[in-house]
Amino acid sequence: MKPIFKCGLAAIALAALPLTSACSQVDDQDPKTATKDDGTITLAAALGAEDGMDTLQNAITNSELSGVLDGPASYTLLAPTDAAFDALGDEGKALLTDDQRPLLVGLLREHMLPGHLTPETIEKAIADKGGPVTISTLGESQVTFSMNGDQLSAALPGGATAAITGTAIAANNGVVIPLDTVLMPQKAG
Amino acid sequence: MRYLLSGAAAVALAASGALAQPGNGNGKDSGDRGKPAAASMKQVNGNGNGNSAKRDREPNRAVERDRAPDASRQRDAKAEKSERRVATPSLKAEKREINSVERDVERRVERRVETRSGDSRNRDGRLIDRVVFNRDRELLRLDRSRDLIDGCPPGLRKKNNGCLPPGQAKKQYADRGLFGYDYRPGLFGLSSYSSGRYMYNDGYLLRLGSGGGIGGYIPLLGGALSIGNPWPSSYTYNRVPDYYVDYYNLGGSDRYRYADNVIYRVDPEDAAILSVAALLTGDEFSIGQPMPSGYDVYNVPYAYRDRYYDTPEASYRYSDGYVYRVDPKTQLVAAAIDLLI
Repeated sequence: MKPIFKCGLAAIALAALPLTSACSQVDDQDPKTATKDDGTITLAAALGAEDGMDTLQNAITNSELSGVLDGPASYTLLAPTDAAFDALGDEGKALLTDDQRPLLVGLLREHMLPGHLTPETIEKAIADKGGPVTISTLGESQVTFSMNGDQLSAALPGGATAAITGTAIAANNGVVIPLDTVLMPQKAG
Repeated sequence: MRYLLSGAAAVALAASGALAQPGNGNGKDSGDRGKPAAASMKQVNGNGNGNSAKRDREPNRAVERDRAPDASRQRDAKAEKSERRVATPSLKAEKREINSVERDVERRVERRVETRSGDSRNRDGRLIDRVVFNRDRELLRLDRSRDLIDGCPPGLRKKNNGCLPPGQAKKQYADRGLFGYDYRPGLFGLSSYSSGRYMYNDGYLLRLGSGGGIGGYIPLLGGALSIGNPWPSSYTYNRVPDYYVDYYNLGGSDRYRYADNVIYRVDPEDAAILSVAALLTGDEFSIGQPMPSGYDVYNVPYAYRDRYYDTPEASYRYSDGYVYRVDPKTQLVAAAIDLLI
């Protein structure tokens, strides 16, 4: 299923190449990372369509937030890859245990943003503003997005910084944006 | 009651008729992807059999199914599963249901009339969107200042140890938490509590008092507030306002509770938590005031992007079920837009 999906995605991306070069202002120039727009699926299904997101899917299920991603409200999910969770080591594994579930919920809320945000619109906002932009999370913080050369990155205040990698998927109730690092909040409040 | 409902139906029809005109606005309305405006004509049947509330929402659900068939099916299945937990309806339950229908009809009519009075018009006097007043958003304000629950959480209270932190929690506090964190409400997504010395234990965040004992506590989402647990009796909550009942497709305000920016679905019989229905930011948007920080990027939901898009004259931002119109130059919030009309 996933290879077929990928082939379809590649075909769409190739077909869109001349168009994106013609509309240089907003659209992502790289067809590999341009947001895939699929209004027929939910955010939960979009997350399932992403490669290498099994840990995050399990975390959302265990934290009992699955219903939120299937609901009518719109959220953007900053989605760390399996490798990003692996990089947390033993403490990352402990985070996924039942005893630490409230902390996991808090962490996931820091990765959820209100509404429908794509990397392209974030990049445009950075360009328009001439510098980093901030977006409120469903947790305690605001995520700051900035450009480092051509690379879009996200950071929590005093916490981790992550690069936006892979292909974002825009669903009918939100967007999944892959991250290469878990956005751990600052240690002291 | 039939007369009451019929009367309400007449008002609803009148209100919906009045609201039907805005479709000839300035062109932005053309992007409306079948949102529930048409539902108003079917809202009130006035038969008083306790089923009209469900039928009222069918148009809404039909729209949602078009947009998210899988999600709707899952929601329906969950709702059905939770319904099975409720005992066979008695006469009392039927009466309660009928009363609920009356309230539902009344609030819908009231809200539509109220919304109508808040129409926003452009220079030509044409309707460009609908502006709502603050009543439904009042709960966000109410929830911003919360107090800890006094004393010990239930588990520690039973041990009768004078409300002292348990040894394991003490050790955790001394060692710091996971990843070396100082535990604080913000780590758990809580933004309405004061700072101080906290420790985490068994699904609760404990606040240390000056004498080394526990000065208060907060039940945590994913911990004490997990699915299947009873609602903690001392944990205050707000009734979910009518707008959110409809926007988040909740089905009935008596089955939902709002606390600490989370909407929970609860069993109306025993107040057991059934699911987490929605998460909110709790960010404060006040008309005439500056837009809060954290909204630098256009974020209007998929279904409304054709209708509300940024122009040199107006920016649109989404938060907690509303789209807000913002003046791009002053960054002042000009209007809160009802997405259900």
